[in-house]
Amino acid sequence: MNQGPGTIQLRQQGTSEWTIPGPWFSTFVALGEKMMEVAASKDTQNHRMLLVVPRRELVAPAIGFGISRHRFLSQRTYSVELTLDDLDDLPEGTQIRAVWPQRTRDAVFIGLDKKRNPPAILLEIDGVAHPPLGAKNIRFYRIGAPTPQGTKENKNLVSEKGTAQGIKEQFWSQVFPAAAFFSEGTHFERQMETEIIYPDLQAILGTNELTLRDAARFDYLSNDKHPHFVNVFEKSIKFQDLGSLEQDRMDMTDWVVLDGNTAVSRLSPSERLYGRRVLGIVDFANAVNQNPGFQAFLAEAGNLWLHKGQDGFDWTPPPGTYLWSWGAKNES
Amino acid sequence: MSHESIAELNLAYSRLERQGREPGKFRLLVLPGEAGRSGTQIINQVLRQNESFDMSLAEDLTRTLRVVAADFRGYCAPDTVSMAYWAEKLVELTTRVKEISGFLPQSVLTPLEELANRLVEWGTRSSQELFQALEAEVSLREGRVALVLSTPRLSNHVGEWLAGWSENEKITVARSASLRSLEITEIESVIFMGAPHRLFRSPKLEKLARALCLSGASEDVAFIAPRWACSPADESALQLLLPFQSDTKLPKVLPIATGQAPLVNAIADEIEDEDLAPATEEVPAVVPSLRAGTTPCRLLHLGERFSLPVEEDASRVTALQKDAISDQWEAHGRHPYDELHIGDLVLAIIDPSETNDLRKRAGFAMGEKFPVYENGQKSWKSKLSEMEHRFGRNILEKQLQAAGISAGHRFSYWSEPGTISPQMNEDFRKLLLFLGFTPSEANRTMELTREFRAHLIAEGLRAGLEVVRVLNEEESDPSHFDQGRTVILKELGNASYLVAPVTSVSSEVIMCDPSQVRSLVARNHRGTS
Repeated sequence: MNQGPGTIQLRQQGTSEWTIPGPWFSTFVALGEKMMEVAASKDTQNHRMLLVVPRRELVAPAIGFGISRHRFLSQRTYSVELTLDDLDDLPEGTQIRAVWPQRTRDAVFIGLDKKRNPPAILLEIDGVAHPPLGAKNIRFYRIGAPTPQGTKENKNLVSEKGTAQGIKEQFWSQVFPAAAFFSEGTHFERQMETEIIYPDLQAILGTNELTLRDAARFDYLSNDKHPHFVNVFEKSIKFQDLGSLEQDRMDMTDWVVLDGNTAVSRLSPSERLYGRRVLGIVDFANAVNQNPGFQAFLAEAGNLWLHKGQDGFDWTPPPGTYLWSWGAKNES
Repeated sequence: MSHESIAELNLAYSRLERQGREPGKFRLLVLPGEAGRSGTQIINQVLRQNESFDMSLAEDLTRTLRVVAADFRGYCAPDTVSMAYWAEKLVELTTRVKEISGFLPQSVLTPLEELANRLVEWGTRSSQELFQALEAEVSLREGRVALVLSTPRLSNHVGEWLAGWSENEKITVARSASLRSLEITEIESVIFMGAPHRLFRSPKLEKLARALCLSGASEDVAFIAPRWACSPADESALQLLLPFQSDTKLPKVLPIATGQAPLVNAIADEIEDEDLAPATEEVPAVVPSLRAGTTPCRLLHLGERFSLPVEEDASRVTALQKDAISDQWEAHGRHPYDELHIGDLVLAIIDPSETNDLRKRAGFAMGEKFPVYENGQKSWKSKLSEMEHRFGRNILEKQLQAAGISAGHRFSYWSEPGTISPQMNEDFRKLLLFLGFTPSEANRTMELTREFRAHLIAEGLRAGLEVVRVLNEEESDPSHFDQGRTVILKELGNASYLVAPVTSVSSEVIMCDPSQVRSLVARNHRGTS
């Protein structure tokens, strides 16, 4: 994955044929990568970008894919593997992650039972003390990000303890929060199920079956299912009801993406997004909530400075697509 | 235009690429428009004198004048149609003038008289000129054309004559409400009747224009307008569709005016587009009136403008509601007379052909048993009709009652092609036996009828679920439906449904045309409430 995304083919739900998407798709993938570059600068913390697209189908997942790709290539993660010695020094109450070959659990570290040989690990899972665990076949990680409790299904079988974590495992378990996407549930779910042929990634993951959900590493903000924490998705109608844990997780992401006219019109004015990097995607083809979307987004962006050009980074939008950005710094 | 395939998306982006690269993908065909110019100058002259008469008295007149001005700019029709149309406009104008002529100064009356004298001539010439340009543009194209008129009122008027036009197969009147059903692979061109700088001022048309001009919906776009309605601002009119003024450049509109000078502001036209017509793009503008027939029905009144005839003995209609906890739309079957409340949202079929389509889908779902069911139904209905023919209505009714068929007086309704069976099973069984079916034949016929009805309900529910899916995707609020709203289901062959609140339920039973049962009809406020 050192080059661009290369030759990609897609197959949508309910269809039998693979189709090569036009350059527009890889251009939106590139936008996701550019967004991660922008996020590296502290000057851009309070930042709004309005992306107006001819049609929004597959735009947000492509951006999510670019974000995921950029994060993966960075090789950074908040997940640090712990040895028994490390656990010995770990303060009680620290959130850690226990990884069995097929499942992953987030837990609170209670301590080591050194009366046993080797020492057993004492954890609290879902607020309940777990029977002492031996270290065999389990790997422990310290997570530098609040992740929700609950069982996570490992997309791949984790390699045996004692072997170096493979690149495949790094992909599936990377904890490096990137973006929170808000959209309509059925619309977004359907797009995430789009199958993708992307030979580079398939070679790394050793599978031919890959969806945009996998490639973009989308998980759910309020119903976390996978060990990775890169992109999270939530229905925009749930936005106002997010609990503190979900809000904390959203706040850890570099970007909030409001996908579609309705999400933009409803969520742009939210105080929870003040001072955040927000990308709003408005769709020309859909008349519903189009002007309310523009109005709501521009009302908030109007508090910032409009930047000239494509925000200073080298991104040429696909035909019929427009991007404007606003920041706290006057660049004129 | 939702859930596009990747091939459709590729097509849309490649069209947009060509539109950005090749000049002339957006063209403005400038017509001489002399007749409309004369009429519009007079209208301008009258409207500018608004301080010399009481505007509150002249509200209807000024509205009519605005409508006429809009028609000069954008009502296209062949001679045969437009003469009658403009004759009606003349009647309307003269009526409006007569109503308040005593309050109008001579400086207003004189030009109005001149306008009235020439209205049919000028109007017909304007409409014909626009029509000829449209006809030429359509004939040049092999693919379909989406035609956009400046107001819903004009869309309705033009839609009426288009149905009988020889090029009808190639043309679709585009409205906001029908955007979902436009197949981008089929549409070759979009033609707007009007000058873009003026059209794009209307917020409703603005959204439609964005969808049709800026989303790759067609290969090219043409605007047709009389010269006096055009302006140099038309060349960069697409900029008006951007959400705010910025340095971003959109493609230019290329004016084409054979043998004429470049565009100038030829007429100081201060008339805004009439926006007072009652029709909106969100709800169907024209639905048929209720016709008398043989099916006993009660009326569910939906919103202010519509009624839904429902069988007197119906047990369910589809109601939609948003669950307060999940915030999701749901469809439920509700008894129309016992369980519906004022304000409940009901799903109604707009076009009667959808009822037939529903039946077709139910038949398809029933598979190979459907022809057997159909034959059985034809058999008992033809026997019933034969008996009516042989004995006469009164005697047959008595015979049916004597056979213990409690609702025998409704046999004419049962004979209708649209009626599935008598409502009560016991009546149906006795009827079949009365008609000479053996007990086993009667059982088989009833069994197949039950099965067909179950498929019909399932198909009806599917439509409800599809509408629910659309509403959840759009995250619509119930308040959006106060005036009713059309939902088009692409997945069900572009079937159109109205979602509207119940405003009242009639207690009176009326006899309706069977083809109108459960199809939307116009509400008659005098007779149906």
